[in-house]
Amino acid sequence: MAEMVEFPGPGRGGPTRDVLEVWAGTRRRSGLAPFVDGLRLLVRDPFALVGLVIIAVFFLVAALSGFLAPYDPYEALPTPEGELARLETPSGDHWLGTTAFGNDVLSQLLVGTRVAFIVGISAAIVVGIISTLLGLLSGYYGRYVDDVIMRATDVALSIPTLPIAIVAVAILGASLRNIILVVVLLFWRNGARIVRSVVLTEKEKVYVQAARAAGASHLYIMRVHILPNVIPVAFLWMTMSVAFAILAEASLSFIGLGDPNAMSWGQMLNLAFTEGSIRTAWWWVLPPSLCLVFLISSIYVVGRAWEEKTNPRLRRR
Amino acid sequence: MRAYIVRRLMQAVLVVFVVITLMFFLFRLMPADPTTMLVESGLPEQARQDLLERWGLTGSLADQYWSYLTNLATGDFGTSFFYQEPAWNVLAPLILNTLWIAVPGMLLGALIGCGLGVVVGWARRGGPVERAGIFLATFVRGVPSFVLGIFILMVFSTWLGWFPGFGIGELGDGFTRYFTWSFLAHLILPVMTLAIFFLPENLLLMRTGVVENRGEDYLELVRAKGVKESRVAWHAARNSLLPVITWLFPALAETVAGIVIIEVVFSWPGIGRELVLAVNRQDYPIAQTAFFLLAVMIVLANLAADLVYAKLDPRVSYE
Amino acid sequence: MPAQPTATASAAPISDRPPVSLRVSGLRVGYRVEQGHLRAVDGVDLEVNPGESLGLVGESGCGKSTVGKAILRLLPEDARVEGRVLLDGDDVLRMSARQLRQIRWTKLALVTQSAMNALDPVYRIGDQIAESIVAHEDLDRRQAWRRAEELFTLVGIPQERLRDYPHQFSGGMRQRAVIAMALSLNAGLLLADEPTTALDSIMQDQVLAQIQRLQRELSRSMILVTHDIAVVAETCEKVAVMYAGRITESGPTAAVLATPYHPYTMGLRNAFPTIDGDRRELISIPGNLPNLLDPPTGCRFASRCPFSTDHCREVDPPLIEVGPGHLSACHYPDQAAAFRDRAAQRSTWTTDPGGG
Repeated sequence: MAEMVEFPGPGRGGPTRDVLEVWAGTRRRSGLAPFVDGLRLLVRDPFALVGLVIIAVFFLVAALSGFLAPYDPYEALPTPEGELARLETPSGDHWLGTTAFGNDVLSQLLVGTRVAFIVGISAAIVVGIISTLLGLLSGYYGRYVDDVIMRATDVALSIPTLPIAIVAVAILGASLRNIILVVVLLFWRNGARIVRSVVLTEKEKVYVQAARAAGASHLYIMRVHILPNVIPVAFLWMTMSVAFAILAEASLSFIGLGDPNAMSWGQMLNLAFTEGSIRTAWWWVLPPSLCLVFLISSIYVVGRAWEEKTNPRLRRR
Repeated sequence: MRAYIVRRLMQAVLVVFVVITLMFFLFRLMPADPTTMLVESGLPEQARQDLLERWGLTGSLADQYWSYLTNLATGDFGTSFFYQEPAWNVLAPLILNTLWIAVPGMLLGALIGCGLGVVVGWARRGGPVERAGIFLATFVRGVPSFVLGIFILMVFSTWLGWFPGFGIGELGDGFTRYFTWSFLAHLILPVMTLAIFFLPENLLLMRTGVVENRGEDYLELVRAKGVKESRVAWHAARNSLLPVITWLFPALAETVAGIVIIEVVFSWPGIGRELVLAVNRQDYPIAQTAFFLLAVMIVLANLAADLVYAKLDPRVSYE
Repeated sequence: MPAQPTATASAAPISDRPPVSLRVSGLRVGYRVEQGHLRAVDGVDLEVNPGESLGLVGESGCGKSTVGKAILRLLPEDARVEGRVLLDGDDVLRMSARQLRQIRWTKLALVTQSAMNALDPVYRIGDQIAESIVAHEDLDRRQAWRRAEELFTLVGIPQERLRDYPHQFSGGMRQRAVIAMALSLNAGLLLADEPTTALDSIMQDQVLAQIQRLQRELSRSMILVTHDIAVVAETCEKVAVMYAGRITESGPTAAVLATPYHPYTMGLRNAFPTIDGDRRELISIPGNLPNLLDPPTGCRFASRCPFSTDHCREVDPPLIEVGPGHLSACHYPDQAAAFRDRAAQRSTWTTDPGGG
C-alpha cells in the first residue's frame, strides 16, 4: 500500500518521522476529540446516519415508555362486551392488537424497549470497564501478567456462550441482574483482547518510549499517551456489547429464562411461541421481532462504519 | 508441525477440563440441592439421602469434585431426574441429530459467505456492490437466530407451505434411518436458517481479508504477470482465508448459540433443545451433560479449524 | 500439490522474443485526495531503444516508482493517467484489458523489490513461476516447471528449491527468484523497481551484476528504477534524473555523471559513494520535496538549490540540450562548471540556500 502512491514526505536531512511522531504525541487534544471526529465521520456515511437515528428514536421511546404505554402491560384487558380481549387483531383500541392473555401488544413493546436498554447499557458499561482494565494490564505490563490473562481469554473463548448462559441463569435464577452478570462474564474476553492489541501498538510508538526514557511514571504514560488511544476502541466495543447484551437477553427470554418481572421483546416472542401463536398472530410476533432486528442491526451498522473509518488497513485515501 | 498439533490438543484438553470444573461449581451454586423438589412430592428422607449419595452430593466439596471427575472419566454422567435413565443414554442418540443441522448448515454458510465476501471485497471501493454488500451482511448479522427462524418458519412453512417446520419427521429403520424424504424435508428449514445465520460473519471477515490483501505487493506482481483478473482475485482470496479461519474461533462458540435456538424454534430433537427442556424441568444431570457435549463439539471444531489452518498456511509448520 | 517434474518431460526452450522499444511522452499521473489534486508525475518523457538500459533515479517520493507502475498500468484505479506509453509503437495506456494481459510478461516484465511480501506467501515459488508461463504459452504444468528449473539454474539457485515457499528463502534468494520469474517468458523489456534495496551491500553487488549480465546476454531492454545513483552508474547506459514528478536531467550515464548540468544531479552525486575510486565526501541535500498538492511556480528544486535566484523561483526551466543527447532543466547551463566545483564542497549545501 505504502509504495503505491508516493506522498511528498520528509526527505534527507529534513525532520524525520520520529520527530513528527514525538510532536504528534505531545500535542494536547481534548479528551472528547476522538468522539467528535468519529461522530463527524459517521454522519457522512448515510447507512450509519440512519442507524444512529434509529438508535436515538429507540432510546427516546425507552425513556418515555412509561408515559407512552396506553395500558398496563401485564393487565388482562376485557373487550367492551366484558370478555377477555384474547388475540384481537390491531384496532383503534389496540394499535397492535392483543396477546393470547389479553395484554396490549403495543404497551408490552414499549416496556420491552426500556428493558432492552437497561440490560444493554448496564452490561456494556461493566464490560467496557473490565475489558479496558484487563487489556491495559495485559498489554502494558506484558510478560506473565499478559500470559495469564491471554490464556484465560483463550479458554473463555472456546466455551459455548448461550449454553453456559442458559445453565448459569437457570441456576442463579432468572432475573435481569443475573442476566446482566452472565452477559458480562461472556463478553469481557473479546474486549480485553482488542484493547490489548491497541495498547501493544501504542506502547511501541516513539513518543511513548521517549516519555519513558524521560522518566515519566507508568501511570502518567497510561493516562496521557495510552488511554486516549484506547478509549475510542473500548467505546466501540462497549457499543457492540450493548447489541450483544440485548441479543443475549432476548435469546434467554425466548427460551423461557427471562426475568418474570420485566416484559422484554424476547419474552413476548417466548409467550407467542409457547402459546402456539407464531403461525397465526402476526401482530404479536412481528413487532418484537422487528424491534430486535432494527435495534441490533443499527448498532452493528454503526459499529461497522466506525471500524471501516478507523481501521487504517481498510481505509481508502 | 507435530509440536503445533500437540500444543493445540493440550489446549483442547485444558478447555474441556475447565468446562467440566465450571459445571461442577456452577451446579454447587444452586440455592437448594436438586432433591428439594422431589421432597416436595413426598420423598422419604432415607430415599433422599440415597439419592444424594448416588449423585455424589454428600461429603466435602473436594470429595464431591473427585467423585465427579472419576464418574465422568468412567463415562457416568449421572441419571436424569425426568427420564429416570442415565443421561448419556438419553443424549447419545441426539448427538447425530444436532450434527445433521450443524455440519451442513455451517458448511453452506461458510462456503456461500466466503464466496460472496470475495465478490464484495474485490468490488470497486465505495461502489454500489461494496456498500450494499456490507450493509446487507451487517444487517442480517443483527437478526437474532430465533427471529430468523420464526421468519423462515412463517414464510416457507406457514405461508408457502413448501416444507414442514416442526420436528424431525418419519425416520426409517437401520441403515436408511436418515434417508427418508420426510426427514430430508424436515431438515431443510433448520439447515437454511443456520446457514443464513452463519453466513454474514464469513462474508464480512472474508471481505476484510480481501480488501487488506488488495494492497499487498505480491498481488501487484501477480497482476503484472498478465494472468486473468479472476486469478488475481483468487490469490487474494486464498490469502484471506487464513485470517478468516483464525477469526472464526470465537464465531464458532457463538454459532452453537444459534444451533440451540434453531433446534428450539423448529422443535428439532437435538442436544440444544434437550438442554433447554432440561433446564426448564430442572433436570440438571441432562443439562450438565448436554452442555458438556456442546462444549466438546466446539473444542473439536476449533481443533479442526486449527489443523486446516496449519494445512493452508505453509508458514505455520515453522512456528 | 505440484506435479513432481521428471526428466522425461520435454524441456520447453525459453522463447526467443526480440527486445522492445519504449517511448513515454507527456506522462502525467494524478490522484484526487481529500486535500486536492496530487500531481505525482507531471509531464515525463523517456525513451528506451531495443537492448538499451535506462536508469530512472531520484529521492523517494519523486515519482519514479509511479512512472514504472504507470508503464505497466499497475496504478490503483483512482489514479488519473495521461500521456502516451508506446511499447513497440502500441500505446499501453489505451489497450483493452485483454491486450494488456497479452503484453504483460511477454513484452514487459517486472522485477520488484523482494521484500517479504513480493511473492505470494502461500504458494510454492515454482508454482508462482509456472503460473506466469502457463498464462501465456500453451504448455502444461510439468513443462512449465521444467522451464522454471532452467531459470533457477540461470540465476544460480538449486532446482529443488522451487518446491520451497517464499518464507524459506533468504532475501538474496528471493530476489533471484523474482528475477528468474521476470525472465520466464524472456520479455522484451525488464522493468526493475528498486531491485536491490532490500538487500545488504554484498548481496546488492551480486544481484546487480547478475541483472546486468542477463540483460546484456539476453539483449533485453531495461528500465532500472532506483534511488541510488551509484547503481545506475554501474548498470545503465542512459540515465534520467527525476525530481518532484519531473525529469530534471537525462542523457548518457557517463556524460551525466561526469559533467552534470543540473544542481540536483550534483547533489545526488554527492550523496552516494562511487565505486570507481573517485571517493567523494558524502554530502546530503538538505530540505524536503515540495508539496505536490500545490507545487511552487518556477523550478521545483529552487527551494533546496544552493545556486537558485529569483528568476528560478518565477520561471519554470525547460529541458534544453547541453550535450549530445544530454538534457538539463536548469536556467544556467553556462555556469554548470562553476556549480560543479562549488557543489563538491560541504559548505555549499549546509548554508541556507537562496535566502529562502
